[in-house]
Amino acid sequence: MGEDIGRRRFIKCAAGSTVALASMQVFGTAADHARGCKYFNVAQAATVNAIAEQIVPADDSPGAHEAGILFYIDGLLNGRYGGFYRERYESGLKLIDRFSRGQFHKDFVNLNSDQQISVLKALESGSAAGSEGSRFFVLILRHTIEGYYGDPEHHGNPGNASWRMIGFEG
Amino acid sequence: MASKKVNVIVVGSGAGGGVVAKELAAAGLSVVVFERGRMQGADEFNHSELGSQYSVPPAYGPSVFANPRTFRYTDREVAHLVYPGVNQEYGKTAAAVGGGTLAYGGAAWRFKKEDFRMKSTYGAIAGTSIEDWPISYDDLEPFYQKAEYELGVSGLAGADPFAEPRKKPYPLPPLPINPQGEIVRDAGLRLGWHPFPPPFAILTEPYKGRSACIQCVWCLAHVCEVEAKSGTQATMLPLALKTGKCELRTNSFVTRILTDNRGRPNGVQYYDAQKQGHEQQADLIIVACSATESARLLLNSANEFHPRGLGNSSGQVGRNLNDHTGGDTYGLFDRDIPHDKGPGPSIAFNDWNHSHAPGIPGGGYIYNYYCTLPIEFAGTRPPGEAAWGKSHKSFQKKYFHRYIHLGSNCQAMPQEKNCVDLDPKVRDAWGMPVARITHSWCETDINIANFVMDKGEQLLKEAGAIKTWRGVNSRGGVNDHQNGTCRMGNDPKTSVVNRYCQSHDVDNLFITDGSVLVTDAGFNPSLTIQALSFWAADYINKEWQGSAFRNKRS
Repeated sequence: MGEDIGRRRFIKCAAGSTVALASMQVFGTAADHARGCKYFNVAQAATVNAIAEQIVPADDSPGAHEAGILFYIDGLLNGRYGGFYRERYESGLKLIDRFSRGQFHKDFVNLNSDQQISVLKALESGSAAGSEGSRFFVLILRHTIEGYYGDPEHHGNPGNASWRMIGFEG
Repeated sequence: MASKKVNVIVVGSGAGGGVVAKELAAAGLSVVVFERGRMQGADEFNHSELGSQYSVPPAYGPSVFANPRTFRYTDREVAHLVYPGVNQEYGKTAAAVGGGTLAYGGAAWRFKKEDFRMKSTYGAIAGTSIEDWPISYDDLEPFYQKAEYELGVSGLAGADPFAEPRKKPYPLPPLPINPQGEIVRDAGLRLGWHPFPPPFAILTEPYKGRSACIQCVWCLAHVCEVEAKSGTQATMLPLALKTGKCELRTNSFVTRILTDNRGRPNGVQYYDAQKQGHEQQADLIIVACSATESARLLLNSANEFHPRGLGNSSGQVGRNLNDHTGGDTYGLFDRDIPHDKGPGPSIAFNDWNHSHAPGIPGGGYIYNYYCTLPIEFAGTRPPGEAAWGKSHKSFQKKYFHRYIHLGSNCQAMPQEKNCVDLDPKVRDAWGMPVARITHSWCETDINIANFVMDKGEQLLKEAGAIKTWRGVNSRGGVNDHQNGTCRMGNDPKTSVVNRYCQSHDVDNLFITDGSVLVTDAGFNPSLTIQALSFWAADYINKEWQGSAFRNKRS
């Protein structure tokens, strides 16, 4: 219950434009994210959030972080069909950090943006971790896109932001 | 626990089951319809790609945990678990009152004459089980008409120069043309093709107490919020229930068809929502639970009288599992093309369906597709375009309104080795062996799809597309047009049911779903399944007397 309120507050704060960008700094820490999560731990939440933001980065419209995609994915894993995904996220997130450390001696969240993109491209192509890596990338890609472009009720598209962005009236 | 015996059990409330239930109940027979899913109200409709039959998991069932299936491309592989929506090899057909018609797109095609005579038209094709039907278009014409009028189908008679003759026009005018349709129509005319408004089981005017389509964009894979789509849950089943002779038992999963001590079917075993087992007795059993599940039910009903499965003396139950290949093409434009008027499809071409091009048996129609939705579009990119990142997002913004998607359903060849049988290990939530699906496309299937996609890209280019590309077909897999597992035929040795959808082995068993299709045509199957169901029900109503058929077959 308390977590729900925290989550709503986060999204509310994150919605909007310039104010939201400023608030990202405030709400953007791993610890703040984890507070809203029901499934992910602090480190996992930060990694998922960083991956999602690379998949849908902020430009003149919100990115995945601002849209709260982390909470959309967290909700999926905690939901009725979470059993399908939990193990794949557990192992997939470990795999990403392992590969990031091998390449750049840091966990994924601590890489710069170009490094993160190169890790994700390697994961996508299968060169980072074979088919297990590419399958996980396809999964988190799908979940991020679903959350971001889905209907607002599912909490990944606050205020119809992505629909307004592409001119979709529903 | 056994309930009071009834005249008829119908297993499955979808396209075929809904029609038969209504026709037999209206004729005075007592009917119980079993549906494993539940009743979805139109009020449960939501404007969401995340709550549709195409979302993961599908919104209208089946439950991914209770109803797993296994899949393999060939019998040299070990089948793996597949869940509708989660795996691409199997999915989409809803498990709810209305079945596949609950959230369908409503395309309501009549097959063409050649579709009933594929072997005669194109000859035998090595590696396939291409065959003629035991009935013709002319046999079915009155029942196509009945289906169109009873359900409510919109269209324009005479507009498709390749369509077969019809005795009556459509009961409702066609859906209005939208801007995408206008562009595609004009391009087609310039190419010398023949555009026409495609037929849909979507009301364009109020009809039989239901209201007309409001042209929203949430159509395909969604339940219609105004019940303008003519699924059986909105049409046939309410009429069946109104007779007072029909009971709809939802959340009730039929696991076996039972027989008497001479091997004659006399009822079913089923489980209710609380997983309590029951039996229901009846004189007549109609199986209509989709090509996959009907075959599975018959195979799971094997007993000492029917060791290979009920109705399976031919060994053909489960064989020839078929579905359409996709023939989708996509085009980008340098100007905005509004697509906010649903459902979307407003122009079709049949120029490449039975065009008799060399090596192309059948073909497929081409039409402008349902309104594009945001998640769907995010997953649609030309080869070489990024699937994520900055450029993916820019593409999404730039082209969402500068895009035309052409769809098609391309005829695929039946193959004996494509089949449903019982998985040797995996059981469902009721302890029954699940369907093991073996399916892969043959070379002819891919050739047909490529042929149709060539035409689609040609049309888009003529329409001014600055870039075109095509969908990629998987190696195999079956979805919501699944068919062929209990084919009809005159020879009991090579087919499962006769021309009236009646089992060759036991005369009080009928199958009225996509299973009985001999070949799948380059058209959506629902209207043909429903015409066949009216045809089978007509036969039953004429021939059934008391608790047996008037003229016992030898």
